[in-house]
Amino acid sequence: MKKRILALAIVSAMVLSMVACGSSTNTGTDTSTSTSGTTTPENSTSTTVSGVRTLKDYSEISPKKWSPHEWESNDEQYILKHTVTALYNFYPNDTMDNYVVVPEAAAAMPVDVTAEYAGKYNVPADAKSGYAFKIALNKDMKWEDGTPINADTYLYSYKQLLNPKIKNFRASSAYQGNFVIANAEKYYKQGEQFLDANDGKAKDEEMLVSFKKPVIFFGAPAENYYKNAEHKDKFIVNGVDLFAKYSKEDYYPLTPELKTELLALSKNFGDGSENSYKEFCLYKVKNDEVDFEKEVGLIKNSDYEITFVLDKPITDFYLKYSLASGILVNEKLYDGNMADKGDIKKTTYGTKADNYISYGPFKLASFQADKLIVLEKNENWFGWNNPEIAKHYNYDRIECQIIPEQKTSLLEFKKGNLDSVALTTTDMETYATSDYLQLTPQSFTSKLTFNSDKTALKTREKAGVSKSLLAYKDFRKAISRSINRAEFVATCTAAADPGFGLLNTLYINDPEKGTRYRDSQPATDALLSVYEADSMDTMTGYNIDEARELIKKVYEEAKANGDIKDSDKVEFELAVYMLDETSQKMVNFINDSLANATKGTPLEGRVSVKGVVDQDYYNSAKAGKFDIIISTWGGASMDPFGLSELYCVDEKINEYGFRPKVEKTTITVEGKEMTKTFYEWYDALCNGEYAAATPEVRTQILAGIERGILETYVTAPIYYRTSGSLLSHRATMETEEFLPVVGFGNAILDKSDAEWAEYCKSNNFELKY
Amino acid sequence: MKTLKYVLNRIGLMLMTFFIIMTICFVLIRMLPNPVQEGAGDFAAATKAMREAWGYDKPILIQYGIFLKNVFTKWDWGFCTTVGTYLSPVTSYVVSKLPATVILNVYSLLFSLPLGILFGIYAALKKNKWQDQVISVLVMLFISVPSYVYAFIVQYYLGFKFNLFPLQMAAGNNYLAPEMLKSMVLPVLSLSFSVMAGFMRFTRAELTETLTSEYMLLARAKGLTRKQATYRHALRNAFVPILPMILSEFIGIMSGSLVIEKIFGVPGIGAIYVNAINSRDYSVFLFISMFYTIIGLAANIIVDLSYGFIDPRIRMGGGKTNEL
Repeated sequence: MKKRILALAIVSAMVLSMVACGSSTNTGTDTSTSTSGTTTPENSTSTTVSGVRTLKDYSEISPKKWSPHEWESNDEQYILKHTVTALYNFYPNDTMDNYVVVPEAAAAMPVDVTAEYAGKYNVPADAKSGYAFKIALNKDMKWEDGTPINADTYLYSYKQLLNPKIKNFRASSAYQGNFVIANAEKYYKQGEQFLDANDGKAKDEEMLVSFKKPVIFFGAPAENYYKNAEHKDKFIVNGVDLFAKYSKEDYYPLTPELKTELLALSKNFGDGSENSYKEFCLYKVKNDEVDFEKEVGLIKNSDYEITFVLDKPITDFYLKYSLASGILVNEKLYDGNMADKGDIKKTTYGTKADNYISYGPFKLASFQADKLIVLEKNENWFGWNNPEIAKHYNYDRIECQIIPEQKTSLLEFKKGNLDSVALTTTDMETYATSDYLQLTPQSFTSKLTFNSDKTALKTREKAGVSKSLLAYKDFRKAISRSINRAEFVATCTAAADPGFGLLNTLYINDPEKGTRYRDSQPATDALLSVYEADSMDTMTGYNIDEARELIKKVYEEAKANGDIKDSDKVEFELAVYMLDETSQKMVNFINDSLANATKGTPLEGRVSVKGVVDQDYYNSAKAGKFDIIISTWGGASMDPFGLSELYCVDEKINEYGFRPKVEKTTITVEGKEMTKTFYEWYDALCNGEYAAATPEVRTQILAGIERGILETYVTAPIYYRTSGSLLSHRATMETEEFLPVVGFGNAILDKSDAEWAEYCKSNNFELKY
Repeated sequence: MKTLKYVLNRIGLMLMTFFIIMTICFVLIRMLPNPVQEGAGDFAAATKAMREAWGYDKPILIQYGIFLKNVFTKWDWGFCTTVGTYLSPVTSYVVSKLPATVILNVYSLLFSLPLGILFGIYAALKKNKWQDQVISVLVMLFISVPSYVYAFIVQYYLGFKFNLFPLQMAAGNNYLAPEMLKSMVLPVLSLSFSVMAGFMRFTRAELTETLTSEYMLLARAKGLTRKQATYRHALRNAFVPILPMILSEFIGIMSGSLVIEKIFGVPGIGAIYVNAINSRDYSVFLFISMFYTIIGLAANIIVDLSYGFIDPRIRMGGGKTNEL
């Protein structure tokens, strides 16, 4: 009997293993092309071919989709950036001190034809330049299978990008920012729509209240909260259950009575702001139908020539920069993989190797989700025959392993199986002096963001604990002054720089000249003013004496206002995504800094900062359900002006209590002082009278906005992010200096795979860094 | 007949439990906040529009009705949104992730199970001698130290320092290829220590108890050698509780280890469940939940029935009770 049981168990195991092996080949959803049995150097997953150079790369996350119309994260852009060709591309120049623009999918630089379209589409009748551009297409452009790419491909791709029935994630890239194709937004948003009322575009009488549809206040339908016992009672206002009263219909017109009820409801949830009722409201817009071919500003002139007509003027640089992203999709595969998904259509284009096709330097040879991406040279790419372009590509293949565990990737790197590896804070201690270390500045600035709304803070207080001090500007200023930023970055980060401004040193304010916003006089003056410093070289942002004086002053004021008692403690929660080693170090540093700042003040020994985990802390911040968070913004380093949206538009800001449509700031523009709300300044800078102003004028306004926000101390910049990585013994980058737009350029491998395998073997697969 | 009735009764209860769990899972995951992160540009609006089109803003009970209709009429459990291959059917996605996990667990079991039982038997036979003490120390070590610690140790020494094995599982689907087998040695080892220790400890305890029972004394008194008595009586009785444990381990081969799979780059199912919850992929979460639920429920029935087959004394009593 025993033998039979054991035998049964073993046979079962074998059968299961065979089933497992068999099923993997049948499903076909995950592994598009088999990549088994390829190894080199010893024990790795690559193929050794004499003379071939394979860039051995890795990513922590496997891309889920890389359609040019749908990608979201950098991981999802990985395949895309190697397999598409944009109209224009940016490379390091020959002297390796700046970038150069190269027409790739375009045959030449764009030609301004605004005069031909004056008075048509939305181009002003008197417009002379900046609105319409003719672009000749490169006749050598082909898909990887050799099929030509022409004007029809562009028309089809843009039409699908903006297809209202598909709801592509990237649709807004054709109608937002600097590059706004005429009527593209109208085409995408044609038909009836309900929009969130707190965008400020609707009047009260146009608003509709909904307890059945998702609204900003809940981030979901009200029902989700109502059915939660913890929140149900909050729906009772003056003895009436508002959910029961207003959940019979989808929408109710906003009446004065309903507005009062909503404000009370909002207060029950801890939000006492006067505009909170708008977060329960939507408004209806009905856009006319738009004919893409006749009304959208993309025109086919001939098989190999197109014209873009724009809704707002654009400079030469921003035009090329906006057209430096690949947007084309292959009609056959795009349509062939289209299916109904709910109330819309979606295509699975760019989710597997067999439903994607390249038109860039590399083609996707195989893709195994969560494991390996292999890209091989696309022989049908015209750039390989163009020495000026081909010289930027030193490798023939790319193997990107998916390695979620950083310790594993570091070992793989040291074994010779990767050409670069990202370093953690702990790794930096080991490799800080390595010759192979590469520090890459990032556009991101990390800041302390405060809840400055006293009502919201009061609802978070409990007996004997005060949080209301954060509502006092001078107290927030004291926190900012108490932090020694240089010490912070040395203690808590891998390779960051102390941060003082909302925008860091990567932002370019004049792309034609390549000047940095942070180096401009208005931007320098703004920081010197905020931090009361004499020069940028001596600026630290740290002044413990001033911090103590401010705390003493605020304490007396708060006590007089009844916001704190002598017996109260002051406890702040600092919300972070996860309380890992790095986050804990940061929390401890802030806590210690504040403890130090309260020495000799009535708050000595009474203030503490505790780290709490909130994986949705940005939205918690937007709802006022926080004390302090570490918020980080960055990206779009060539457009610092657009980034002001994040601090000046209600639905974008995290600094709860700061009201950009109410609070004003005075800015001197071309010698003339003007006062506007922050939102009005943003609107004028990005959409209004200063949208096409000179970079100097726009820089003055941006610096004024930045100074105005920093002086409210609703946020306190702490550090500018920099990432550290190691390059392998055979890898270097095109440039040693980090350049605008192109960074360090592409990697250069000085050994072929066979030579590298031999080199690793001679080092016993344990390379020293 | 009684057994058939019992089995049908259990299956009925199982289906009811399955339905209740499915309802709870469906409602709970959709009650979690699923906010859209606002940033520069209009991307948040696009995400909201997609969710609306997929019916995520409809009342939960209506969503559930649509879901049930799709499952029962089209066997459509939904599609991947934030986890897995975008828009692919969740059923095929989850199934595609199973082989790597299953094969790894099978190899681990095939390695650890015989060794665990053999060492357990050996320890029981050498009770309180130095061999038993050594095995007991190893058992304590293997059970108390988390498997990811072994994973990092074997990866560093066997994979990196001595360069005996790849640091990660190889790419591809050919799980019987020599390169693949070699690349699976480290994760298999890491998964095996605790399983092996579990079987060692359990087998030793059961066999020790059996060896000291009175019927063993009777067997010896009747003239059987120690070897005969152990082989024919003790081992057989000791295996009554061990076999269901073996069955449970085999049923558990489909559950992946989040940490081990992450360390060794195994493209398995381990991380999917947590990712599906964190990134609110409703369909992936629900399908995996129900997949494991049905396996767990079925396993309970199989294990319960297996007692009757292993030990004839444990069978349906035909309605008889001990009550007076």
